[in-house]
Amino acid sequence: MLSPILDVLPLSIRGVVEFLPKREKKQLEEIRIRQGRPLEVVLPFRSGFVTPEGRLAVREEEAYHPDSEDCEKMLNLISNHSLYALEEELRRGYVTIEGGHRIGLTGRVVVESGKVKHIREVTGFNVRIARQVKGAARHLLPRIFQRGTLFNLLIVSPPQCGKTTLLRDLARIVSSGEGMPARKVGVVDERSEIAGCVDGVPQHEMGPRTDVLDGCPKAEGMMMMIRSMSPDLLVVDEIGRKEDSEAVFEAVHAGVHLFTTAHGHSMEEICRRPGFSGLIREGVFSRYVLLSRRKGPGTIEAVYDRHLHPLPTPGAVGTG
Amino acid sequence: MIKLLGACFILLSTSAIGFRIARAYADRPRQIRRMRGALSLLQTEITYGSRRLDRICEQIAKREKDPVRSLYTRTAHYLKTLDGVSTFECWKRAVEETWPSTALKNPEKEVLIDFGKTLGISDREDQLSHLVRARTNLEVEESQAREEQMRYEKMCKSLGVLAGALIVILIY
Repeated sequence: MLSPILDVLPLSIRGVVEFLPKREKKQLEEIRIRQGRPLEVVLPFRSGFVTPEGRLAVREEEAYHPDSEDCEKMLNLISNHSLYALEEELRRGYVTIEGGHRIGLTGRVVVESGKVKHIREVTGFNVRIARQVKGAARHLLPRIFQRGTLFNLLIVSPPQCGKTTLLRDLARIVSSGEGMPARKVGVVDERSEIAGCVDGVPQHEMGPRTDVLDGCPKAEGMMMMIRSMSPDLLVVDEIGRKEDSEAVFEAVHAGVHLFTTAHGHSMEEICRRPGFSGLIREGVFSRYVLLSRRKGPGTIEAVYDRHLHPLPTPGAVGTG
Repeated sequence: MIKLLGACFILLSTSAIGFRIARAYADRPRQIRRMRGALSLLQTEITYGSRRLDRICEQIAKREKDPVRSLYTRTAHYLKTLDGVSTFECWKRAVEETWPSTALKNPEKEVLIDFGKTLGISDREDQLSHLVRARTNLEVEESQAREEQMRYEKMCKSLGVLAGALIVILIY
């Protein structure tokens, strides 16, 4: 599973990561490479620096320190020696690689007329390992599918709590019709996170009836989907801007169901955000799910109905 | 009889040397032109397609003849196998290895190696400007090579034959 990631790591770092104990390798969430600073890995409940022998260490000095050559090689491997082909990705600050894994990039940003043009001298990489957890959303199903209808769903969660994992699995379940009649699913994947497309091909299993618009701005993408692909369910990640909520209104009034997510730690926080207050007041969403990391990523803290009354939470199972 | 045979042998070999040198003069502008053509292909691919550099190199290698083919095949091979070594290093190695089997000389080698320093490592606009520059430089080299060809090609041929004749006359 790690092999697409190992392929983009320069030999020196690849060796270090391969030396990691098996258990840690299985749980890896992030590998962080910063030029001249210790190599770090992030695991579900902790993080640590990695020594050249692949041991987790607390002290900085013991860790392997990637140098500028490592960073240069890594960029070459990620871009396949073709930075010109990654212009859009560099502007957005991350690259999706085979397997749906994402690599965030930092470095010297080149700005042209106030807009980020690309990143030069990349010195920081964050390899986020994507894990598809099939069945992560199964226990949520009775809450969002009742008497033959799907509810419009908003998943609220702080970063790294498994909201995309949950959303991806929901899309897969609806598309393949597990425990319900199958429906056509349209995924608008602005940041290539849900389906993890490489060259337009989803790297995660998305179900047989799923169409993916990869790298498309959400608001526009939702309209394109409705016009051209007649989906029963739209799946969109991380809405929040004004035009997004307008598109959501349009979609819901066009009779399309909608699953989406938002960053936030609590419902109060979401209600205060201008992009959402209107949506919530109008009762666009019929179910809200709040996630946390309390018992590992994907812990379901609460489920609310249309009027923000809490419903009994399903037996939560961690997705991590 | 043996004397005559030896004379023929000398004449033939000096003429062969002359023709060979003349051929190098004729080949050089042609090969520069091919290199230039390959750079145009590269330019089209980088502008309109957004394929990976190693794939582009393979594609060019498939369409072109030697020495362009061997240069790009080698580059593609190194890009894929050298584990993240800089693009320039791969390109330079390929150029160095291809060179002995071509009729090309140092000036165009410098142009190509210089061009390799920027290959693949910048955005599209920058890539294009460097490609255009490399092509213009090659064009200059090509016209010079053509001039040399006009001046020396025939001369080398006749010089080969005449030198042979001279030796034969002297030792006969």
